[in-house]
Amino acid sequence: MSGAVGPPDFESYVAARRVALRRTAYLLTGDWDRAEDVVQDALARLFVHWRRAQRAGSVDAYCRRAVVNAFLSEGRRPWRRERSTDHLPEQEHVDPSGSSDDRDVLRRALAELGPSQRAIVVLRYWDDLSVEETAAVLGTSTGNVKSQASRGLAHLRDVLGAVEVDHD
Amino acid sequence: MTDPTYDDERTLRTALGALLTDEPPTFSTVSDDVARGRALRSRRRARVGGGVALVAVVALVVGVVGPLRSLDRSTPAPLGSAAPSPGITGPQVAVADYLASQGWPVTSTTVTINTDDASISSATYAVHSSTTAGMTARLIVRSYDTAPALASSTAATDGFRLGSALQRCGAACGFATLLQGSCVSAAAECKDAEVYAWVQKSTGPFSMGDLILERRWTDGTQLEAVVSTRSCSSCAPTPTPSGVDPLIGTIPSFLPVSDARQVLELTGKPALRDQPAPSQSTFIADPSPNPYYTAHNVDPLWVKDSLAALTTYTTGQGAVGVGEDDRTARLDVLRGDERAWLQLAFATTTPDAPECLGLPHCTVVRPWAPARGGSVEVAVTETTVPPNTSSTALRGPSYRVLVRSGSNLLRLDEGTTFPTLLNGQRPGYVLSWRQVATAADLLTVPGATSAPSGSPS
Repeated sequence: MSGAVGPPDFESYVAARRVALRRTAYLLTGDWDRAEDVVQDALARLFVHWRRAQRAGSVDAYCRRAVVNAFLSEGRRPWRRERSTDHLPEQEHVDPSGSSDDRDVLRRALAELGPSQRAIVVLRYWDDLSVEETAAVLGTSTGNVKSQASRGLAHLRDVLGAVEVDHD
Repeated sequence: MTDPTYDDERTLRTALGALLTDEPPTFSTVSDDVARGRALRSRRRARVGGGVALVAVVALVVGVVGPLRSLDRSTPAPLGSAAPSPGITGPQVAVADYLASQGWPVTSTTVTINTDDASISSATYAVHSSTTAGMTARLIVRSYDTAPALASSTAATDGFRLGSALQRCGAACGFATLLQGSCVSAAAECKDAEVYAWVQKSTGPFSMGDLILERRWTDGTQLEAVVSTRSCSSCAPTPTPSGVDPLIGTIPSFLPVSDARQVLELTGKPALRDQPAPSQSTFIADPSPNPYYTAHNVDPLWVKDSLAALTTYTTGQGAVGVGEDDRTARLDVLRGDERAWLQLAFATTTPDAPECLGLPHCTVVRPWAPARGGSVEVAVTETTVPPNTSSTALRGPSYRVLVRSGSNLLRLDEGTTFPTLLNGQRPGYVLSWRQVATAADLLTVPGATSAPSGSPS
């Protein structure tokens, strides 16, 4: 597809930032296809509000907010809604020597976090945003970001620590 | 709680980075993003214009048509002297006229746009009986003018679907009979709570006794008529027999199916507003003999030889595939880290249906909503009481799956005759390839009720 031409700045921005946004979206959703959907949704919204975001000098912040909002609202749609259940499927066997199993453990641990908490963890510790920046993206208080990030990190620490101990 | 340290953060960042090592390539280009942005902007502009037009329509219909209906219930009102917009007010006036001719003059008509999805608009007709004072009812016609996220196909068939009327203990009848209007009850199984749960979960809100008729076109546009039951403020109360579940009794909607169908005909096909990108699912004609159905089937290549796991969402009563709060009949299909899910939503008990294979208690579950990843052609669900255990046999385009409620799930891939547990073990039970298992079959499967141990037999 080559017919569509947008604002040059927008195209440059997308070309430079798309991969990073997609990775952030993947860490949020845990699914590359859904991550692609989220990024496409966010970039389409950014296109519509491009000039406003540029004028405000906050294109990155706007785009991150769009990604997170797309992720959170996607989870609220009924056909994507996840439900916990007491009846888990059979557990996978962890191969103590396999790094892929470490990743599975982390994926599961991330998935166990609530959507908002997951977003806080990813923005804070993957996108390296400050507490204030994270709070601004999520539209919440810095106190909430601090407490949620701390709890989320503690949960992940427990999980990752257990794996590391196993490997030792 | 220990405060996070720098090492924690660095370790986590490294670990998160490791999750990205299997990043697949993206096929989306900057131009694609620009095109999607332009499409979104166009839709928003159209939505703003449409919203203004609809406000005008509401004012016209409520202010002109409603009072005219109230003043003269026996004579249909004129078709709006204020030159209604073709395609919007025209059909609504025609529907109002038709309802009046059926003895249900319209008190008011309200047009709204779904706040979450502007491609869904609704016309709500409040009606009253021309023969019984104080008796009122409601008809909602929803219009879906954006195709769902499925690739359209010429193989798709136009047609109707009948949502269960939630009259769960009426006499069972075929859907063709239902559409002819001589039968207004689809469910014969009083304990078939999934029917009610699904309709409540669907595009609702619905009420017990609502009749739902949907018409779908090949481009994905849809109309949906929701016909409510009668309510009467001044009528003598009908005594409810003690000991009888009031939800089970017959609750007739105010229009029969044939009239609901006529309303959809008068409303007409919604104009397709936007064509979404095709997904991996294909939209094909239902192989069942009933011409009114279509089915969504997953690309066989996706499922074939790759069905790795199933998980179910269960109610407290052990019903298979029914979520707790949102009441979605849903099965997850896992393949490694990938997940698709099967949306099981259309349920009716028709023991005589060929899909039931002669089972005495058969629930045919058909896909209602487009499913990401695939759907089920046929599912047979049985519930034994006691111990209130549900079992389901699913048949898809390239797989056969048996499911037992709880965490004990079985699978049967194409080309095999062994249902296997999720860890690859065989429970030592051989199933005929062409046979869809009964609940009794499943209950006899060794190891089906506990975590398996030992090596495959």
